[in-house]
Amino acid sequence: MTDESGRVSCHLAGLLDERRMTLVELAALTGITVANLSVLKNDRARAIRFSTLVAICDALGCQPADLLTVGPR
Amino acid sequence: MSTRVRHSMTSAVLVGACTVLGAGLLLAAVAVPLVGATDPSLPVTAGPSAPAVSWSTQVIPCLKDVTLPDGSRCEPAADAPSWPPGTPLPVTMTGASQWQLLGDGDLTERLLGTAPQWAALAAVGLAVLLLLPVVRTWSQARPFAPGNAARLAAAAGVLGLGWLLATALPPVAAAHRLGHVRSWSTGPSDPGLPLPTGWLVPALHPTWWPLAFVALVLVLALATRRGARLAADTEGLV
Repeated sequence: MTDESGRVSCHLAGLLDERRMTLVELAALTGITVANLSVLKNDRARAIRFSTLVAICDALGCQPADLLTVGPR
Repeated sequence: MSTRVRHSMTSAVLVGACTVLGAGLLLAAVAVPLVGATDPSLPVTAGPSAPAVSWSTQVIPCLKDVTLPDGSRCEPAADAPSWPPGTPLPVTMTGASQWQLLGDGDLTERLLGTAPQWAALAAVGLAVLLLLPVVRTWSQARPFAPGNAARLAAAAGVLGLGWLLATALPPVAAAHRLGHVRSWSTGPSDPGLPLPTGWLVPALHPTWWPLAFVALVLVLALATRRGARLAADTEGLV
């Protein structure tokens, strides 16, 4: 199976900018480490737990589709 | 001193010690047949046409009209005019039916006959050197680093090959020596009599316990391969 995770883009940086929030503040709100949030923000994540997704969406008041999109092949 | 520095020092010491150990074992493996510190192993056993033997400390073939050192006779006695009556076979006993040929051989025989020593030393030394990067990653708490499983499998292969050489080469040396075996000579003008054909044949006496180590390293290789796959699955998980 080929690794298709590269087609998934994360828009955490844009969502944080819109809310004038930093990674450290988001980490404090969600309980997720800054290191993991940084991996997600910089599109280096290859998989995401539902718990992470729910925590971020709750903190930012968004839906998963606002955070992640799948690019073309 | 920080934990990271302490870990890297421990890693360096461990890798250094393993390097010295591996290189030392390889050097010892080269030295064993050349220096002649150990006698070559030339395992033989009674052949199909061998007469009955009497043995206590020596192996004496039962020949007609021969009285043993304790005054007794052994039966059934065979007729063998080509072997001096009462003369022990040139072997030492290592077990009830396990004998070793005596005498110094040529370099080929020494090389083949000392295979249990040098092959074991070389295999362990080579395996230790092969596993140096694995030891380094273990000491860095990265047991599933890329290449570890392959190196462990290669080490198991080297150990298995060493065992195979240690087991198979001594009988080859014994077969080589059997072609030259003669009875003890009584003086410079007496070359001794040749051993009758078929009295002694090369014997295979495998030692099985080293295969447990080979299996252990192989299992470790398989476990590391599976662990590496699991680590790859969770890599990048947030």
